Amino acid sequence: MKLLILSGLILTIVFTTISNDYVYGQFSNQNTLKVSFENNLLPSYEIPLTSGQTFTLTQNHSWVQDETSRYNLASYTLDGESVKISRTARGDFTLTIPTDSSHSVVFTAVPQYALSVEGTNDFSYLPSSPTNDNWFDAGTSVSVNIQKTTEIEPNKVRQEVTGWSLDKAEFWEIEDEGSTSFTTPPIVLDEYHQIDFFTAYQYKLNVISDSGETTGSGWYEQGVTVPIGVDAGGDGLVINSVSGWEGADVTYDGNTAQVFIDGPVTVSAKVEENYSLVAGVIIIPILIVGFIGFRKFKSRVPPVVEEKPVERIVEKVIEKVDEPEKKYEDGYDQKLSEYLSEQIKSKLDEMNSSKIISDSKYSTVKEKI
Amino acid sequence: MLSEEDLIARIMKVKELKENCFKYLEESSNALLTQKILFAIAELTADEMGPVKLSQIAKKTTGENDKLKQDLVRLTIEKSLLKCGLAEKLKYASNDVRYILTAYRFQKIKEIDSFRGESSQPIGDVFELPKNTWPISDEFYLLLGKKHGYEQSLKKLHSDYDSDEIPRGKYETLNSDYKKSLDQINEKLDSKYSGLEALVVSES
Repeated sequence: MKLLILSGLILTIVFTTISNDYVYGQFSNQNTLKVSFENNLLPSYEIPLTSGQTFTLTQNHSWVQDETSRYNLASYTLDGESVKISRTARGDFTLTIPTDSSHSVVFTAVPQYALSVEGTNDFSYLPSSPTNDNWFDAGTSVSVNIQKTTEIEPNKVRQEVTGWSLDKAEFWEIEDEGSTSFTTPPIVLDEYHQIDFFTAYQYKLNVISDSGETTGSGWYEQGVTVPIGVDAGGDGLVINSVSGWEGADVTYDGNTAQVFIDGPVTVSAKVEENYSLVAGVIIIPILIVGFIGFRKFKSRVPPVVEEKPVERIVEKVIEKVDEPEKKYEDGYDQKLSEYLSEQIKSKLDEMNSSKIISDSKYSTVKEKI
Repeated sequence: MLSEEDLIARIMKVKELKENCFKYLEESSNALLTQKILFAIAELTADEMGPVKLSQIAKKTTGENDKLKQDLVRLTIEKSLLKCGLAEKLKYASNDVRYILTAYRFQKIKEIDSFRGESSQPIGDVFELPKNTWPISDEFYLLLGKKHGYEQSLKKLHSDYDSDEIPRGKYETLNSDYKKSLDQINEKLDSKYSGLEALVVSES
């Protein structure tokens, strides 16, 4: 009997121990983490939590929706308490989950579309992307701000943005309104968009002169012909006049000058001092007065010498005032410039007749000379 | 639109074509619509400096651009030019499809299948489409014209100076200015249009 009671007691103890272990084991395996996504953006799943161990939940910040859109994590709800997520484009979001009991996490993500910008590197988005890249939440209106001018070579070559297009379908010119920047109208990001900016090189034309005010200096696009000039002025009775221009590609016909822009260029006016007014206003009257005085004096003195020395002196003085006779012909610059134009045209003619350049291009290029 | 660099790369490239595709370029095919389309794409691209629309190609090759003609041209392009890799189709938008040639110079090849594996052997000289159909910018031609102009002007300047027609000072100023301009032109030709000048001028 004692043996039976002892056996029963041992069995009870053993059963109780097993039963307790089973209950403990069943309790530790029942703790779970249920992960789901608002609007079922991704499939839900459940993970068993092991009590006493740390569990870290990992989720990508962004995942692809289709070829031109993606989803980006914005917030999560842990057991009903909503928490915002610091927005970023790449990497994983991690969350440490307590394992003492079961939990549920619901992620909220927003659809995003990319806005690509081509043609310039000097731009910014208004407003900036919530993920600090070129992706924006669906429905956001975004403008692109650019610097219109990029300096390539200081004071010589620059790049100017002249127009832009949206999705290569609509094109707009950018007017020169004196502003250094340009901002596109807001673009609603309800799909992928691409903005292309079109640029043109501009070259600096410097018109310089030792005296007077010059006109024509500035930035110009390649291929244009720019009229230039100088108001040479003067110094009292000495009048300054332009005798020619120095520098590449200047066409000067004696009155007007123009420069063909084919790169950064500096042209200088050759200014000469003209003393003819000095001669006309001062020297000649003095000589005439002197001559008249001498005639009066001569009328009182019997003529001894047949020669007229004063007249000769006047002639000599006038000769001195006049420009000395030049050995070289004037206007050589102009002649060489004309020769240059002829040679360029003859080369283009040759290329056209050799079928190197089409008739339509030949006509266009010829106009640019 | 394609960049100027891309267009120049297409001119510089020599594309190898098997005999069944090279035939579209040969004189014997000048009555074929395929060859007419090929030349039309080249000429239109040279004018536009970029890929061209089906309606433009249809208009140039058939004189009309109604749907029937456009379908005919599109089918011809797809069955011959696209298949042979002579042209490519660029889709800018759902309703904006354009065509452009992949190259302007072609080498006929014969494929040899031997125990060493497959290889190809060139047949004949490189065939090139007429130079006046190459998509080259106005700037390039202007630079070539100017290069010739400045070279000739410098020769004249030296000769005039030797004949004592101009004073030394003027000669030196002009010589320096013209040389500088010529250097700038050569620099641009060498950098932006590297290799193109030799192809366009020397081999013509």
